[in-house]
Amino acid sequence: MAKQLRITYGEALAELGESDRRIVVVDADMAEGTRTIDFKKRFPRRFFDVGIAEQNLVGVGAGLSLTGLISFVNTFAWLLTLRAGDPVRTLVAYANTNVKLAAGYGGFSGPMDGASHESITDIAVMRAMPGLVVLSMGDHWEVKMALQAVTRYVGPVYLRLSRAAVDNFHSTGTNFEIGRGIILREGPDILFITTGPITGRVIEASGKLARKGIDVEIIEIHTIKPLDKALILREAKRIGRVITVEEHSVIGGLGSAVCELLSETSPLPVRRMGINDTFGETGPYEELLDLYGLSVDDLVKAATDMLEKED
Amino acid sequence: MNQKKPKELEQLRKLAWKMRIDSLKMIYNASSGHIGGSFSAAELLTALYFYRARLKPENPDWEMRDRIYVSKGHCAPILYAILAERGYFDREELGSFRKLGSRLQGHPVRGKLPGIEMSSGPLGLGASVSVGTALGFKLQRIDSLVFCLLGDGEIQEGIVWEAAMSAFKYRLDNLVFILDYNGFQLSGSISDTMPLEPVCEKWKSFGWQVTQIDGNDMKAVVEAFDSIERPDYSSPAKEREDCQPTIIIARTRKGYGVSFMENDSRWHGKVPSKEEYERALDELNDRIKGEDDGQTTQNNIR
Ligand SMILES: Cc1ncc(C[n+]2csc(CCOP(=O)(O)OP(=O)(O)O)c2C)c(N)n1
Repeated sequence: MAKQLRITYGEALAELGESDRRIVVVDADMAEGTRTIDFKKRFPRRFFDVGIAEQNLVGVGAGLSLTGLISFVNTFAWLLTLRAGDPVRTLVAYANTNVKLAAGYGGFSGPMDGASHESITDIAVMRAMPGLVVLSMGDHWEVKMALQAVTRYVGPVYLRLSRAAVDNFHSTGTNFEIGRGIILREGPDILFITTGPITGRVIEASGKLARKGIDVEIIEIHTIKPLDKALILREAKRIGRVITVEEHSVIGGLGSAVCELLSETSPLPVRRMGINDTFGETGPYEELLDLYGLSVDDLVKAATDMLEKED
Repeated sequence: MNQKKPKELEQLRKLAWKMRIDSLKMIYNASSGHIGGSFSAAELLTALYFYRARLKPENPDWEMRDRIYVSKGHCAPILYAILAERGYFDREELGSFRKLGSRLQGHPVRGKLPGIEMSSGPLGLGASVSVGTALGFKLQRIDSLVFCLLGDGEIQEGIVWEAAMSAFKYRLDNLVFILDYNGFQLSGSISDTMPLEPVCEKWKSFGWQVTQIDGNDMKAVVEAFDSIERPDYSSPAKEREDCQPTIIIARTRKGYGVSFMENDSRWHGKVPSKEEYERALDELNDRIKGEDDGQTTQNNIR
């Protein structure tokens, strides 16, 4: 069984706490879920639990950062972006504080709890916040690299995490830089632009498509904002057909960001795949993704449909 | 203790009146801004910036400074007036309040103007920020104090009570909330809109040390600030039970100082007409003269 992404987050955060004494961690009674429990055990003095109080969670994180510390603020993605929306906007984005908002359970990744606990709007909300860097994590390598990068970066960051069990799809030698997309596969026929653990499915789909003689390119975007405009423009223009895939509403997420970019400079057909303006439900993670239109076969079909339409 | 400084008290009193005059001018000039809550907090903020807090206006980012979070950000006019008077920026700039391109935004913005510690405006947030900062100071054994000015309507926000609980949990004896208890909020009286009483008991039951004063009486304000101890990390740590956050419940009058503005929620955010402006200026100038004549204004706790 593959390892859950949150486990890597917890371990990496605790390791980082060892090398950087400025790191403090704030949680809101979710340490078992967010996995800040590892940090808490190692550095109890630098761990603060504010109880079930998400607005205060963000406020306390911002206040800590104003004393020169680097605050990692943790809870479910939906609570961080919605319940604590104003503190995030005012005290983190607007006040430009050195706060790292670590959002657990992104997308469908806490699915047995039902749609109330799933987060399919967080990227839309966070992306609209001026000054906020928005990251979305796909595999273990990425989580480790991103943690180091956001610690070095001075300023507010939203870090979308996941409870999903995933295998690495990045090779360890890859370069991680905030704001830089990563080409995972090259090909002339269709450009897939994706983010998060769903990338694994896109890779699987690309194999199936290859067997049909369709050779696709995959760009993985770990930084939704600032978007790697140069890379996306260059590759999209060259290939001419784009499919975006994300574990998020099709409204306001990566697909929207890509469309905004392309429609202003080089309009071309884009198919946005994601959650189609509907709430999820309770169910096993992988089955939910299938049910909501993100199965490997759905991805394959989207690609073949796009090519057929042109004929 | 205060017999020693009647002169200083007199200066502080006069300064508070002067700050009211500056805020009135700014608001009149901008045709926008909040008089009522600026005036009620004049003594509290004047004493904080000119008397109690450890600050270096010439070095606004000085690491050892005390932190003042003005959570009720709509009283920006009096805050800006005080910061200018204290030397954080030129008084000339007060005229730009609420003008396009100004550093003196409608509500304070961190990083925009020297002396502003945090962005505020959305009510309630400063309570949490000050808890976080007090935690950060304790962790790093920095002996700075954290002051947070809150409105009485403002503490209707849930986040304030979330913050109150966490301040007690972490025994933040370096944290001081100051409640500007003027009895009014935007749309009317506190008691009609959302009653807060018994307010002292509420804070006590949350584990806070509660001091109640007349917040427009400079002597009382100064005494309350005198009683706040700076943490001393060089001496043996206090018993945990002895560490409590403090709230100063300051009974004030909204619009205090101008007879027709006092205790009237219409003056929360109303801009005076030319005639009202001139009358208000006259009244405030008379107050300063009154201080010169030694008639210190004492108002009774409601
Ligand atoms: C979260 C939030 N809700 C509403 C407002 C609009 N508002 C601005 S001032 C105010 C009344 C504040 O009353 P109080 O805290 O008693 O301040 P004071 O009377 O001292 O001016 C309101 C409702 C706001 N700024 N923030």
